[in-house]
Order: sequence, then structure tokens, then C-alpha cells
Amino acid sequence: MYGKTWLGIVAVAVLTFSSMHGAFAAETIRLGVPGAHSGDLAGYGVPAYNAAQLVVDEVNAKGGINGKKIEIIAQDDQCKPELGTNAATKLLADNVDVVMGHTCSGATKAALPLYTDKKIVVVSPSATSPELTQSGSFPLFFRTTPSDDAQGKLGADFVVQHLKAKKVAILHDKGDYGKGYAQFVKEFIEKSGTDTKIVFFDGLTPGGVDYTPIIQKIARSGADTIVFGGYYPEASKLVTIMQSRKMKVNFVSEDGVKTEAFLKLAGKAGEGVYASSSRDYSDLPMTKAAVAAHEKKFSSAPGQFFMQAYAATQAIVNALEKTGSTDSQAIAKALRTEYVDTTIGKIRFDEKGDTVGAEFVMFQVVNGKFVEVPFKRAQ
Amino acid sequence: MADIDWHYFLELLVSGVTKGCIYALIALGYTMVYGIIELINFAHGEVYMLGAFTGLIVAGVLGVMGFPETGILLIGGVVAVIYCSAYGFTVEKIAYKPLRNATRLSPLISAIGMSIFLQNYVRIAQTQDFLRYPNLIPDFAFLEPISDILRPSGFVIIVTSSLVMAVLTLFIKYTRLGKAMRATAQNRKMAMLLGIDSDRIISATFIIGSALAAVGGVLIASHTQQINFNIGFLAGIKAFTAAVLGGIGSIPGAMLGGIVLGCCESFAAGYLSSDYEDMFAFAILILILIFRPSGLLGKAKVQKV
Amino acid sequence: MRGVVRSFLVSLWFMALTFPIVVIKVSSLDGSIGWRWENAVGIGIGVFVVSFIWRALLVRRGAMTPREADLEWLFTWLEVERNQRIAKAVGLFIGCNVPVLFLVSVGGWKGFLTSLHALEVGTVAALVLAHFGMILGGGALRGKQRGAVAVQWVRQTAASPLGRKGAVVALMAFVLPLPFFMDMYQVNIISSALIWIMLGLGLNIVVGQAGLLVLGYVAFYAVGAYTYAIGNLHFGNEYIGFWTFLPIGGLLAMLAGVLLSFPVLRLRGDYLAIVTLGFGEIVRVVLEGGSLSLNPILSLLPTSVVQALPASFQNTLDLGGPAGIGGIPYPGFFGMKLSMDDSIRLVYFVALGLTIITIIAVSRLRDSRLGRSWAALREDEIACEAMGINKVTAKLSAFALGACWAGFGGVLFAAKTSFINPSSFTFMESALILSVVVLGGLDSIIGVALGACVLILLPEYLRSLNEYRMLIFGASMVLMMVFRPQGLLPAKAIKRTMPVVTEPPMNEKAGAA
Repeated sequence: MYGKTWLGIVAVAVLTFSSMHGAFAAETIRLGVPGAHSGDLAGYGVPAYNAAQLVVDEVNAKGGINGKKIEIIAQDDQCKPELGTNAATKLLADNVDVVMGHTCSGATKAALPLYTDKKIVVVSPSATSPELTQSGSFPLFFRTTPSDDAQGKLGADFVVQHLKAKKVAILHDKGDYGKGYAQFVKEFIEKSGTDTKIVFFDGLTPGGVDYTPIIQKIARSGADTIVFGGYYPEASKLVTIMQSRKMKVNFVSEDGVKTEAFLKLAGKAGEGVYASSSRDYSDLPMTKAAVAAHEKKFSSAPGQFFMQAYAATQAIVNALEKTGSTDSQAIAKALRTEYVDTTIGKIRFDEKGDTVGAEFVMFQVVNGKFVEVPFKRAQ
Repeated sequence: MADIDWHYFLELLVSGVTKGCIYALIALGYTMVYGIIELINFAHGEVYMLGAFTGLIVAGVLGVMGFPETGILLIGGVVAVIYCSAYGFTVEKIAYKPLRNATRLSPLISAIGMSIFLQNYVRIAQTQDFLRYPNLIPDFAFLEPISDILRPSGFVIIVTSSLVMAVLTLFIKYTRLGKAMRATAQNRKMAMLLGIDSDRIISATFIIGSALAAVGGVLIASHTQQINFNIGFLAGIKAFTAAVLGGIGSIPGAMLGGIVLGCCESFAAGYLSSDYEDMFAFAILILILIFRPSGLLGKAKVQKV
Repeated sequence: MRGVVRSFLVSLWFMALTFPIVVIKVSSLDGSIGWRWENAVGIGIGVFVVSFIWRALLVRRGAMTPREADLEWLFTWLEVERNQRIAKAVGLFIGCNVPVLFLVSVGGWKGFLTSLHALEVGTVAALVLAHFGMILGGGALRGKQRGAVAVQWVRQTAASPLGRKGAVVALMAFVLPLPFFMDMYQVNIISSALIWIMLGLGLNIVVGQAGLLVLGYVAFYAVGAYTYAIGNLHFGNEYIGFWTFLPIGGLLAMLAGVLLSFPVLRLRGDYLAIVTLGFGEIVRVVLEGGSLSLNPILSLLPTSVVQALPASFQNTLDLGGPAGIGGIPYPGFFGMKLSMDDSIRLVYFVALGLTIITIIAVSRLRDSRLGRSWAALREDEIACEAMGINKVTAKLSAFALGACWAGFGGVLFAAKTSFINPSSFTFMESALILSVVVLGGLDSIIGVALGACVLILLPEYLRSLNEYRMLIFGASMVLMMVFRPQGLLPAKAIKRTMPVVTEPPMNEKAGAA
């Protein structure tokens, strides 16, 4: 008697499974969003995922692209190469059409050969390693963030030409993003042929309890400018220590620091900090709407790389709309040729995959806000 | 360099001691638990993180209600201590107590699982972003002349942790519970035979250890002024290293180990390279253990057959 | 009813405990405070239910008596066989369907469907099997014969050499064609799991067999991976590739193991653990630092050899730093040009082959003279020395052999991901490898294999839960340990006693043997 009951249950269970499986197939465009959604770098991957959701919600609310809704398939890679390949193969197995993501250069480098083999277009909001675009081995890779050498060149020019620094201390967080930037700044300052000297080059452990000794060492080196490659939590710790020691030294950093979170974390200590990033379009209605939508849906301010990810998703959506297909070559061609209005400006991508149109400029914190510094580079 | 720059040396020493005090506060929890049940409590770093978070949340609530800053710091600290004690107690009941008679490694893995769980619990329930910790420590006027050496928060850290450690030492030495704890650490079976409830002692150990971690959490968060769900991991590993350095199981050892480790890191960063700061810390640990296999203050156990 | 009161109190306790973190939310936007009371209610109800199950399971495991758990009424009720059957049925039914309910409640129907899609092979099979398990369980409980027959059959098969061979053949017949039926993702994560089986078995030599707690095992893994990556960068060509670097990686890792074991020979227990942890961290910091001075080694070599080395080996060696090293080729297969999919399949077969070799080697080692001396070392160091076993040799060889497998695993890992950087070799990885060993069952080969599959495949199969996946992963590690402290499939203590001579006289027994 019991056996029969069980058979019944099994039958019902199996039937439900199979019926649910049938309901699964629907005509959608599949957008893969891999990135660091958990782990210690989640703060840089989750904002990109949020941005993708907002853009896709908006597009779907308008009826999708040519009648097809976009479906997001998110995969977590914790910024680890091996999980990057797992996420990539998972997305490929799920038949994604386009990919917006991989947060870190490391995971991107591990995953790109797989996407390239399957001819999938990848647009990353935050992978900055120069070789990704410059090696030429990944023709379908694009990014909405400048490569380390472009940003490093801007930083070096700014330090040498605008700040006219004599003694520079360069500090990085030992990550691929921060150290890459720091190394390029060092290289370009050395190449500049001016009397700007690098008096200090070292790394710090991200998440460390106290960075006072490092600041003390920099102070002792007599540097008048600190260039920091890394993210905002460490940067704000550094400037807080500098403030309490009443150190008057220029602090120059990059995109990883130019974020609202830095202003909040550093507070008054953040005043006067320089950070390079893409030109500010926060006055655009589109950008305002994006921020408002984020605050409404996630009840928090957008995080790091949100704008870049938003722009990347917009560019993808635009390319899909213009081509009307999900053919990778067509999408890539559209990304290279069609200008699109995004939250980081009117952009397209060059042959290598870097952004054209989004200008990267230097900002300074003035009265708790990032304000663009008028600075013309001498060629 | 021919002559030593004493001012610079002093700066490094003070920041090393500040850092060391935090390590010591967390290391005490490791060492006490280890002394009694021989378990490396990997979830201990997360308790420290929970302490910092609870402090922040209480400060947020009180801030909205309009309390004065020093009051917020004190109440936040007390609430954090109470909550962390409760967390320590609960974690022990869930993850370690059922494993009392299992092999030595099972609770270790359970602790690693607990650590992953607690991190993600805070990440999901709160946020993955860094949060600003309010600067609640007043600027002491008498510190003004030496402000480039000792910041107010550093001062509070050193004073509070010395005080806490002194109280702990007296507690362990003279109270009934402290004596019972020492007896249990020395020989659990014997202590049980003498009528000491070992379950109660273990709970008490976890509660005290977690309370110390909470103090560390609130102090360091006021010092660095930012927290996120991940801060417990690195601090936990460092504190564990400090506990072993001083001789695991020994309470003065944990304090000494913490300060030695903090100073090592500080001097390594100041005189050599902060790139390899962690490496020097661990290299010194290995060297010390080679020459003193039971740590600085640990007693060499004579294995009896 | 004391049980109900107790559960109620426990749930109150948890509601209070989780209150600040779960209910109050300080907005990162403007520091305003949000109150999420619904979460407190959820936790209260959840804990109330779970606390019953928790105590009942602890009683079943023998960690509590029904009296201590305030569940006497439940266990009195359970003494009746019919009630047992009902309970088992209800329990199994809930057990099988709770995951489904959970998936639905977290991800909604769509999330659940996506997860089904991901788990086609895994979950559906498991769920269906579990449902069948209920039938079998019900049947076994009723007649005891049907189940008993099945169990007996399995036992008999496992006992006879022919049966075991048959089982191996059947397993191989299942495993070998697998990559041709699954998508590349499944192949990829199974290759990962196979690499982790190798790592687990390697660490098991040190921790499980020799009883030396090592927390920096990932350092040896890194040595292997970087050997292949750097070697390929400087020497790689169509003849020198994966198959050359596989043994070299193993050997270099072995060397690292021997190097580490010298300073730690004197240390015991947790001091050993922390020194190995430090070693692991030092290796990672060096990798992050990006360069390694070779002068100490080069000064030992004759000048002619040094000059013959490529320029990049003359002074310092570039390790790539945090930017990592990319472009690592997949294993070659007799110079054939393989597509990406075939390469991933090949990685799977290489991983499978190496795992099989590892399993054979490890099981042979365990029964060898060396393996016995490790067991002696683990059980009692002093007695082991007194028995005339050379402690130094035993420890050295355990470290060397354990590290060697990490080296092989590392080379394969580098080939599989085609890019490596220091973020794959953190302390968390060491902790996970140790978890594989302990969770599966110390010193049990099948256990370690199962542990690796659970710990590597579980987070992958939980992917559809996205943000909850690490939370559940952590919780399941605790649960698995609490309810199976000896590991999922613990090793049976090998009992080889001298045959007790009772009645038959000596000469007769000799004749019989």
C-alpha cells in the first residue's frame, strides 16, 4: 500500500519536473553578466550587475528589442581565474548572445579565449589590463574603461605638467588593477625626461588593519605627491591618516577612487584628492535617471564601475537594436561604427576595442564633490 | 644611515603597538579557546567583524535619536560586546558543542564553514559596500604636541586594550570562574572530576573571547573609519599568528605575540618594504618557532607516555 | 510540551541575536535607518521549525538523549513501528522537497527552472533517486527483505575481486564517454573536481596518513602551476609543453615540500599548522611581488650552465605579479590540432587519468612500509620512534609525496584555466583543500573523492542562487560536520590482527594455510 503511495508521489514529481522543463524555452536575447558577485571584491562586481539589470528592465518595459525581451544570466566568478572559466563555460552552455562583464582583468583573461572561440562579443566595464585590447588576440573584446597605460599616461602627465611635482611617491594595492596603473605611472614619469623623481615605490596589503607606517615612510621620503593605484577603501584610509598627521601632499589616483563611496568614506579628509575618470555626465537626464532608478530599486547609491557598466549595457543594447540580429560580427561592427549616447558620453569603440569618445579627465574633490580640473596636456 | 632617526623610530613603534594591541585583543580569544578545547576557532575573526557592524548600527540608530558622540561610542561599544558575546556563545553551541568528542579536525572545518557563513550573512543582510564608521573619538588636547606620532584613536586603542587585558589577567588569576578556566585548560578530565562544569567553562571562554574581539572591532573601526563584511578574515589570520607566536594557550603570550607581530609589520613597512610586510611577519614567526617551538611564552609540553 | 517551549525560546533568542544585523539597515546612501521587521518574523518561524529538526537529528546521531532534547514524546511515539514508517516517509518527503521549495522561494519559479537547467544531470537525478530511495526505504522498513537483499548484494559484490573489477569497469564505462554527452560547462567543472580530488588525496597523505596538519598546501599547488606557466613562457614550443612540465612541476613542488619540512621537523600539531600557513602566505606574497631573485641558486651552478640559460633566468625571474601569466596552452595530444571543445575534453581525460593514477598510487602507498610508518607516526610519535621508525624520513617523505601531487594538480590547473594569477592561491584555497579531506573522511580515498566533488560541485550547482550560494555553502559545511563528524565516507580502521590460535594445533594450521 505504501509502495503505491510512493509511486504516486514519484509520478507526480517527475511529471511536474518534465512539464516545467517544457515551459522553459522562450524566445529571448540572452545577456551574460559574469563578475565578482560574492567574495572580497563583490563591491566592484555587484554594481555592474545592478547596472545591467536597470538597463534591461528599461528596455524590456519598452517591449524589448524588436519584440524580443532581454534576459540576464548572471554568473559569479569572485574575480578568480578558474571561476572565470567556469562562469564563461556556463554562460556558453546557456547559449548567451552577448556578454557584459568580468569585473577583473584576471578572470577576463582566463575567460576570453573561451568566448573568442565561440565568437561571443564581450564588453567589460572594468577590466583594464592593456594586453586585453592591445594583444589583438581578442577581436570581439570591448571595454568602457580606459586601459591601465592610458590612465597611467594621464596620471603621469598630470603629475609632471600640472602639479609640477619634484618628488613622487607611488603606492599600489598589489592587485592587477592598482599595480598595473602604478607601474605605468612610474614608467611614464621616468620617460618624461623632466626632473620629477620617484622617491618611493611600494605596495600595501588591501584590507590591512593600519597603514600608518607606510604614510610615515612616505612623509620621511619628502615626497610632495603621492600616486596611488588601487580602490577607494584603501585610498580613504590613506587620506584619513594623512589628514590626522596634517600632511599637505597631493594625492593622485584613478578610476577606482573616483566614486561617491570614496567621498563618503573619506569625508573631510578626501578634500583636494585628484582622481582620473571618464568625463562627468551626471547632469545628463539619462545619468540622473539611472542613479534615481538605482536608488529606487536597490535603495543605495550606485557603486564602483556602475556608470561604465551602464554604458556598456547601453552600447550592447544599441548594437543589438541597430543590427536586429545576434550575429557576433554584426554586433561587433555596430559597436565599432555606431556612436551611442551613454552615461559616460557619446561613445563607440576603436578597432582594438577601447572606447572612443569617452574622454578621461582629472577630477579633484572640492567641497565634497568631484570637480573636473582644467588641464590641457602638452603633447 | 649612520645615526638612527629616533623620531621616525618612535613613530613606527607607536603605530606598531597600536596595531599590535588590536591583534592582541583578537588573539586572546583564539588563545583562550585553544587553551581549553584545542580548537583553532576560525570564525573568531568574523565575531570581530560582527562587533564592528553592531557598533556601527547602534551608532546609526543613536545618531538619529540625537545622542552625544562620546555616549554613542560607549553605548555602541557595550552593545557590541553584549551581542558578540551572544554570537560567540551561539556559534559554540551550534558548530562546536555537538563535535566535542569528534576528531580534532572536524570542529576546525566546522569553524571554516561558520566563518564563510557569517561573512555572507552580514553581506546579504547588510551590504557588500564599505561603510563609513563615524569618528566618535574626541580630539584630546593633551595629544596635540605629539599628534604626528600618536593619534587620538591610537591613544584610545592603547589605553583601552591595556585596561581590558589587565582586567582579564586579574579575572583569570583571582576569580572563581577564572581559576576554573585555568583548571579546565590544564586538565579537563581532572577539572570535571573536581566538580567543574566543563560545558559552562567552555561557554564562558567563548563569551569572554568574543567580548574582547568586539572591543577590538569597535576600536579598530573607529581608528580606520570604515568597515565591510570582509574585515574579519585578514585580522583573524594575523591574530591567530600572534597567538601562536606568543605560545598558543598562554594569555600573556597572546598579548606579547600581538604586540611583537604589530611591531614587526610596522618596522618591516617602515625600514624595508611594505610590499613584503606580511612576508617578514611570517618569516619572523617561522624563525621564532624554529628556536622556540612552543612560541615565546608557551611552555614546552613534555610528552608523557 | 516542554519541547515546544524550548523551541520557542530558541527562536526568541535568535530573533534577538540577529536583530541588529538583519532587521536594522543603515543605508549607505544617507545614513538613514530602515527597519525590516518581516525578516525577524521569518527568522523566528524558521528557527522554531529548524530547532525541532536539529534536536531530533542530534538525538539520532547520539549526541543527545531524547530527555536532554526535550523530545521524549517524539521518541516515545516513534517506538511504534508504524509511526516510524510515517515519520520516515514524512521526513524523506520533506527532505526531498525542501530544496525545491527553497529554490522556488529564493529565485522564484524562473530561478528554479534555471537551476534545473543547470543541474539536469545532477539534481534531477538526485531528486528522482531520492524519491526512489523513499520507496526502497519504505519497502525495507516493511519487509526488511527487499532492502536487505540489495544491501547484501552490494556488500558481496564489493567483497569479491571480480565484483570489484566489474564495478570499476562499469564506472569507467559511465565516466569515459561522459564529456561527449555533456556541455562544456559540465566537463569543465568535473575536471575541476578531478583536480581537487588529486589535491585532496595529496594532502591526505600529509594530514590523513601522517597526521601532520598543513594549512599552506596551496603553496605547492602554486609551485606546480607557475612551473608550467613560466616554463611555457620561456621554453615552450611544439615539443616542450604540458607533458614535459607535468613531471617537472611535480618534482619542483616535491623540492618545495622537502625545503619546508626541514624547519618544521621539530614542531608539533598546531605550531606546524601555523608555520605551513605562513609558508603558504610567503609564497603568495612572493608571487604578488612579481620577481624572484635567482642569484642564490645560480651561484651554485657552474658558469657554463648559467650562461646557457635564457636571459630571463640570468638574474631575477619574472613571476608576472598580480597581472598573472596568460596564454598557457592546453595539453597537447600527439601534435594534433584540437578545437577548443576537444581541448577541454582532453583536459578532462588527462585529469581523469591522473586521478586514477593518484588513487592507485595512494592506495598502494598506504599499505606500503612507508604508509605503515606514517600511520604509526600519526597515532603516536613517541611510540613510533621507539619502534625504530625514522621519524625524520617519515615526515620528509610525507611532505615530499604530498607536495608532489599538489605540483601535478597545479600544472594541470594552469593548463585548464590558461591563465593564472596569485588570487587562485590564497589561504582560503588551502582551507578548502583541508575541508575536502576532513569532510570526505580522513584517510579514506572514496571519502576524499566525494568530499572534493561536494565542495567543488556544490557551489557550482548552487549558481542559480547567486548571492545566497556562499551562505548556503558555509552552512552546509557546518551541517555536514555536525551530523557526520567522521566525514561523509570515513575510512574503516583496518584491523589486521594475528589469527588467534585456539583449538587446532600449530602443524594443522600451517597445513591449512
